[in-house]
Amino acid sequence: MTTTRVAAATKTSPGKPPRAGRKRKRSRSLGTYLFILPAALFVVATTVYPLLYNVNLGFYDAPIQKFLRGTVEWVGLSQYQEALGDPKTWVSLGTSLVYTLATIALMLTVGTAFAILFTKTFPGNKLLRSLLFLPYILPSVVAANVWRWMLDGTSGLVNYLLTTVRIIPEPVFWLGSPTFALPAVILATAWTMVPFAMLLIIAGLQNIPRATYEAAELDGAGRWSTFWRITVPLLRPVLSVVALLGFIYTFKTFDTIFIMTRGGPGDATTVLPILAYNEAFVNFDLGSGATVNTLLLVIPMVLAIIYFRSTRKEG
Amino acid sequence: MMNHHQNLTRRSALVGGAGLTAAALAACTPGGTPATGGSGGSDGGGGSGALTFWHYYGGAATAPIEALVKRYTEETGNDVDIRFIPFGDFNRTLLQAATGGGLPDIALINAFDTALFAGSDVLTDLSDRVTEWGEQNAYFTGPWDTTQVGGSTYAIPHVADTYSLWTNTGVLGEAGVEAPTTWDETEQVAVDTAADGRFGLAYCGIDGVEGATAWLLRFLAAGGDVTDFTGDAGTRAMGSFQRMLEDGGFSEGVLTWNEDDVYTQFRTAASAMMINSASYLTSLAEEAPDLEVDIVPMPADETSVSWLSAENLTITSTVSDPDSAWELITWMQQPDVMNEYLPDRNKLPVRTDVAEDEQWQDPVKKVFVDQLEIAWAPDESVSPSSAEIFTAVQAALQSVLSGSASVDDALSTLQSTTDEALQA
Repeated sequence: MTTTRVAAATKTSPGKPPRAGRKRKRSRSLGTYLFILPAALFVVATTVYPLLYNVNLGFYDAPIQKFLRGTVEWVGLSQYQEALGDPKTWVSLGTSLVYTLATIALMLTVGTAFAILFTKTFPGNKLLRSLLFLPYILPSVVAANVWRWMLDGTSGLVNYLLTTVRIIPEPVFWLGSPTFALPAVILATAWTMVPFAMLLIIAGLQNIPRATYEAAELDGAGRWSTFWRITVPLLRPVLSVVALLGFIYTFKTFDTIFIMTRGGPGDATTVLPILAYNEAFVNFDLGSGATVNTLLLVIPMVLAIIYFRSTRKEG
Repeated sequence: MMNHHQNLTRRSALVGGAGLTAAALAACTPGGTPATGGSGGSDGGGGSGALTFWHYYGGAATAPIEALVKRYTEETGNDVDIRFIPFGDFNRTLLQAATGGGLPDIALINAFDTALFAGSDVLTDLSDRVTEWGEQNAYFTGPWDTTQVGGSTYAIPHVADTYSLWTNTGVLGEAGVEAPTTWDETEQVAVDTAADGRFGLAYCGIDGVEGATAWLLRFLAAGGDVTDFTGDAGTRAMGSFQRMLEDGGFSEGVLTWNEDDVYTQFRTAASAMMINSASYLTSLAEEAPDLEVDIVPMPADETSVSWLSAENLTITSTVSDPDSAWELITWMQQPDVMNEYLPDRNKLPVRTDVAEDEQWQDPVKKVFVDQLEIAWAPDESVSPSSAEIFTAVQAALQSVLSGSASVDDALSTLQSTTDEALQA
């Protein structure tokens, strides 16, 4: 949507074609920048500086004692090398990617399904849509605890339902099982993200011209064919935005996993943010924690750059 | 799109901004001494000239500590700004305050963290004041030892807690068994009392530090030393827990339970026994008055051992008025004050003269108090690394109970982590 508007806005008016190689020179005065200075300073102070401080801290051997005494030692890239050579970093990265990609896949699939459902007219549509939005506005602490209780092995609702209908013979300790813990936190995270995806996809669906569907119907296209050949391609920009924002949000998720499993059992749900937390605030090795945090920044940042470049090209 | 000149100007602005940020970074090496860094004063979020006091007593524990401080203010006229910080955020907040300024005057910290913060120059050395005060011999050895770092005193014990074995006598009676006194008996009783969806033993085995306590109690009772897990004590302790799980003595759910969950299991009779601290005495009496309960000392093996859970009062290195801070701490230590305060907190006395009070002669409370004499705490060489070691202990336990590692492999991995943590 945005890209279309940007494209439209940057079109030159008919009859006045741009003169190749000639660009209008319009120097911006210092005054112009003074207007954005407060916002820029705010961003620098609250985002850029902490970010760079964290990257910088990764170059120091900084256990808490040295950190507080101001006697940290510059070690250059050795901590980054150590982190990259440590199997637990790669295991955590793998866990992070599985957790994130599975959450995004679930979020997009269920979000799209609900979005298509709610573009139809049926009684209680608005009420149901509002109710489905609840998981998104719930504080993540509450949502995580709700899932922790539901998945409890002894008195959890999930076990009760599944044993009642004989799907499982005996209760399963979902959050204590190395096999089921990661799917459980994926499910809980996707549950909170689906309404966000659904809302954006509904907006995307409403922007697809009805005429396109009518033409497809006249051509004898079936529902499935219409979905894959019209809906999905035309939703691609929205789905990309949802996937990217979802990735960035999910990749850095800490609270949901920490409350549900604390990164366990073992390292089954130890994603990079949990690993960074453990290094910095359990082992009190701030340099090592900062190193993991920096690695945590790289993937979403690269994805964001790729996305913005691709949208610029589209524009 | 953008014109070239405009691009250049924007780039200049960005480069300038980045340069300023980089310069700001380059100007300061990360960290700094609390005494000189930051605001250079002790504000601690107060700023009113009153003493600032940080603690992590949440939930039902907030009111008693606030009432205690209020009583001090009423008696002395000295104002105290008291601030609660959740336990999970406490050390991080204290660390941030130490770095950026704004440390409180007094911090109520976990006893096991005393050596860590003392070694980081966050705390004031209280040795001279303690010598002048002369009441150090009134304290139980275990809690007092946690205040000692490098031969100096950096804290005063505030309250303590120990772990015992809670038994449901009704269930044990039905099974025709008595409360166990040794770990071998505990294994057997756990299996004998497990039936109809009920398990014999519940303990906290959740990821992280908290989930290491029960296994470490077993390990220490077998004569273990937390710097050496690969010996006989480690194998015996791990084998014991592995057998109990295989024989149905406890549920694999222990790996997901924190201490509140364990209490819930016991309160609802879903478990015949639990390993837990005295914190739940009042709750159990109120919530399950009909439950037949007997609390016995932690089972023995090679030795008898319990676990010390305690908090220490400390004066930070940026304290603005150390005399007032010390006055508040010593006022809190008075036996009559502590004996009025402790029942509200469900905690145990840290002083022998306080423990002589009639209320501590109650048979149930006495089990916990008596174990203060045998309550284990890491010494100053281990305690700064204790969180990392205990986290690795839980990971080893989890890997054995889930079948993802053999006992030997799990203990070997645990030993490597421990060695690394102690060398750091």
